[in-house]
Amino acid sequence: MGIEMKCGKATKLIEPFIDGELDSERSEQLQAHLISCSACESRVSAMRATLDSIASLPAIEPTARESYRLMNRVRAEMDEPRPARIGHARLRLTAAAAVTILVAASIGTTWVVLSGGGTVTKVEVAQEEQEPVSFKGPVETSAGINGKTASQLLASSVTSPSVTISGKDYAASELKSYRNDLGARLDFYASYWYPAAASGFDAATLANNQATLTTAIADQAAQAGKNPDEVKNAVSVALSQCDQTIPLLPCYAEQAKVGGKDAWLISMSGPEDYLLFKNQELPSAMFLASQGGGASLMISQSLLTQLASMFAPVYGGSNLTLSMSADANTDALDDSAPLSIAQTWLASDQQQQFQTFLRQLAAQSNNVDLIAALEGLNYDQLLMLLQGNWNGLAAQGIDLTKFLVPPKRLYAIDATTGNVIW
Amino acid sequence: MALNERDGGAEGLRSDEELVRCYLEGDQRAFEELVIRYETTIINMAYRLLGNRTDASDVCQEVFVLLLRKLGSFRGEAKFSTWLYRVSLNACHDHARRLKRHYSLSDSPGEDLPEIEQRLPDDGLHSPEERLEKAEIQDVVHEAIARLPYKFKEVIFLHDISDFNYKEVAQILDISLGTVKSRLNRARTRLAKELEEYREQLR
Repeated sequence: MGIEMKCGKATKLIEPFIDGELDSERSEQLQAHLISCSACESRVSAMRATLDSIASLPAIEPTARESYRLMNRVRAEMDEPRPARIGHARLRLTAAAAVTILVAASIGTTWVVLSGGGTVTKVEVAQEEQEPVSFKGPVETSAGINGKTASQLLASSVTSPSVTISGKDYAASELKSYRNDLGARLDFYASYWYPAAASGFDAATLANNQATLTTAIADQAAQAGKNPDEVKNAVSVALSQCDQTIPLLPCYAEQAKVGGKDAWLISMSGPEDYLLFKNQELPSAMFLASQGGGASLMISQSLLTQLASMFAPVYGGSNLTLSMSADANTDALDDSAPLSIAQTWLASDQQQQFQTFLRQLAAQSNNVDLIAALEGLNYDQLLMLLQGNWNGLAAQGIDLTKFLVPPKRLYAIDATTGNVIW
Repeated sequence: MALNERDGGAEGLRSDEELVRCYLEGDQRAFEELVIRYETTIINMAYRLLGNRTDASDVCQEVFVLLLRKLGSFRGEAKFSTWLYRVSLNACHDHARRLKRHYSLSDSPGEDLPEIEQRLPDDGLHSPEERLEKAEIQDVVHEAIARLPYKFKEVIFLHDISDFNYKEVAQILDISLGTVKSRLNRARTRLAKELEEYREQLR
């Protein structure tokens, strides 16, 4: 050991010593000094106490809402302009269309039917606030609607599907959120969905409608100077990819590129579009799901199970009971308006678990409506969601469009090989 | 904790630098992964440096937007985490300066802390009185840190809260080792003094 250390020097070494930044030789010298100097020893204790209280400050966890807001802001920043969000744009547009039907039917207004028959129409990717379709074709004015139902009137108008020559190069990630609203338009409904539905979607009528639409698309492509057989083939490839048990009608074709390859984007109109008009008072996604239309849950089954398990103990069972035994929740839910899971009392560690779960969800789904909707469910409803009991949920007035995504109705077909790209 | 333990040392995780490269090549998910990875770090940083939750939440967003814009200028001379801490600390500082024009940062820094009972649940080891005292000391420290000059807060946050060593703190702040030591010493001395005064009041 070297020469004995003085207090002045020792004091300077105390912090590096506690911080573990002192070499072993000087550490030993300091420790030797501390044994014999109570003043320096108490300086060490005091510094340790200060550092302990700093270190004991609780860390904060971002809440689900903060995570959502953050991710949303970052995404908005990354893709300006942002692609249209699927559900919102479509539903808003449809609501406007529904209002139009009602107005037309009840007030007897004279109204204009747009006819794009045989002409090339331009369709742009639907933006939230933008009417997606503009016709360049001749405009026909129909007579008033006295004595006719809205559907009869609509059925008398003639329209066609749309073809766009955009040449735009799409990334696969863009296609994911790509959806056009053509199928949800009144004229498409009137010309194609209404007659098909009237026949109860029998196979022959459906095939006939599909063929008519395919020809119309090919004609428009030809007028635009494109090879009609190419797009015809693309439509039939796309149709062959579809679930044959669901009535689908090709409504839109776009000549574009996907990842640099020439491709046709083919969009189908599905029962969700038809149902939007057929039954206004019920959410279409619910209908779709109840009729096997292929809608899917926005939240993964495993996350949902995790969520339900989290709340199961609070409701008196340590295991998640999927069969929902009648007496399982009576203690907790004997009220006529059961508490939502957000209102349910949770111990602080469970609360933290719940918040962590919501953060995960926010990061995955980019959908704050979904989080709010989930928080608004009670435990029984949570289980119904987990079981896919859409009718039960609908009976309780739950808007399923918040939980279900419409199925994929867009296909990208390689223009030269006819292979399915997406 | 060493810098390189923070950036995806675990098996199967892409390193920060890899994620940055993927993002710059057009993979947006890569940046989202960085957001998820660092959100808690940044919000805690902002909370510690600005003293309240609302500002912390806002600044956290600003920081990531700023990182996104500046990412193109990240050349990889430093580790990504060093760069991220540096950019974020500067962004917090800018925000603090803007706030200061409107009101004093130390207005009521402890007001949005969770209730004491929630912060220190019964652990079966400590009496309610002991837990209450601990929570009160936390409040005192929180407020004392909030009153420190910004450059002192930075070193306390990096060294005493985030466990970076002297050299790493010097790298992040781009200052000398000597400056790190002297700032730490002055910051801690002030905090110790405030804590001592608090304890005096109790006696």
